[in-house]
Amino acid sequence: MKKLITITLILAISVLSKSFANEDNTNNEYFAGINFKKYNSFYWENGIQFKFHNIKNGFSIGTLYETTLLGSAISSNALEQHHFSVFVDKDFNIYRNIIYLNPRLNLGYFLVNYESEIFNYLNDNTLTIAPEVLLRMKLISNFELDLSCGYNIIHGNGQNGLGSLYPIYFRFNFLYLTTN
Amino acid sequence: MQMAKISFKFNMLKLSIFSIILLNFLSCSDPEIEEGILDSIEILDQSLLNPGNYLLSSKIIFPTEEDLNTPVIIAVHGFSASTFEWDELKKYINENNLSNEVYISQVLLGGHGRSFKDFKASSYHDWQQSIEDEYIKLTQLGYKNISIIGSSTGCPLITDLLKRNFFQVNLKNIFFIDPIVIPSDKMLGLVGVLGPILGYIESDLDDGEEKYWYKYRPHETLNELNTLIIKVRKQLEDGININEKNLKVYKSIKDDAADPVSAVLFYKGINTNTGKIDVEMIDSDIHVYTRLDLRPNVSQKDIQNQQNTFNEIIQKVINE
Repeated sequence: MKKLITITLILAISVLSKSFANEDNTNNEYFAGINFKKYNSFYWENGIQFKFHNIKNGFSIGTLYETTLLGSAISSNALEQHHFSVFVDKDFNIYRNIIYLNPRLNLGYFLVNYESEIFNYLNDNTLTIAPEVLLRMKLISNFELDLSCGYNIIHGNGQNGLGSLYPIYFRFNFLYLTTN
Repeated sequence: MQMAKISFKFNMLKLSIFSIILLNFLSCSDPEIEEGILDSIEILDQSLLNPGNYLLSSKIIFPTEEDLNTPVIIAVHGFSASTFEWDELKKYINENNLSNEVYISQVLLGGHGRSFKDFKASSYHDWQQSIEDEYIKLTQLGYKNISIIGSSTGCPLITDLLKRNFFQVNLKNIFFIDPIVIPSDKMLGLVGVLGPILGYIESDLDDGEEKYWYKYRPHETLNELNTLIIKVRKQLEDGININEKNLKVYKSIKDDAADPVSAVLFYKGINTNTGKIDVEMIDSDIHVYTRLDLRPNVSQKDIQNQQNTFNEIIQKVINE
């Protein structure tokens, strides 16, 4: 499992660095921030995000990590879940270069800790694919707010998949522009 | 310019009225109920016609001391089902000549076993009320050795009662068969939004089941189910400490109604007075695998699973 996480992270980093290596640095923006994700009728999974944005072509690529340990599982018996993702999205300006609509595609790896061997029969990890629609708003002082809604195509249905991975989610991101 | 604005406003008004009419149309009325199914007014659950055959409190009105010391199992069925769901446990007790060693009381949940209209008007509090009523009657009559078994939605209803410390006299044993706090169909969470548009959902029943399960599930009761599930899941997240000693969860590893992960949440969320609860994952893909009557293609393994569980439950109830 650790190997898979490491491979995912290495892949994400290599994709990010290659994509932006040939670009003029003045066109690149580097964001870091926090995410708050709520599954419809289920847990909060919160975490962190890093994003490189190219002003010229409007593409962003990034990576994020979310966990219930920073959400529903704080001081509760909620399941411990971890979700690593890489994503790519594209800007579509809808209001004066302040508000953008971004279609995004996330690829990730999701795992859950059942904390007992009794549940070894149950699937505890899965790859994830999630299209997402994001409303990106530039705020004052290098801050950005994103509101989004996504759909995990691979999710649990009792027969297959991972039962605590819900399909529909909503996410808020607060990002800070670290470079100009 | 002024005329254009007025025209625009008028068009918007027309659009709004049209939308309201369309929504009203889409928010379907009740389905056309066929004759001979549970949803119709002509079929009632047998426990309503002959309560003495189902409820112990109606069967033995003046219990002897021997009756009062005999172990009792209160059996609670699931959402949209009826007392039929536990008929096979009664049959098992009778066939093994144990009817004098253990009594069974099959509770019909409120709003169930009647017409579609009654089902639609019921809340999960109504469903739960029948369990409370039978338990109160039995304890008032003086029964001392009471256990409870629930299937599917029966389990969160019982869990909520445990959380509320409803059972004043401790239950001897608690058994949960395929309990639900995470639905397999994750779209249940959208019932509050999509429900009023859809009106109801038609369930896919096997031949013969239409006399014992509702075929049409109104969005109002699906919403109640969703509310109950979320409430109990949060109770489990907060933790439930019960005074009882024995609680066991039996869960099919594949289940198209109650996601198997539900069992993990019960395991993490409930502590008995001796520690963790017992959980057994059953190699089955049947929701409520203890009910096999009217199911097509029942395998030898399914029968074995059912008999093993019944045997273990009865042994525990009689010996503990």
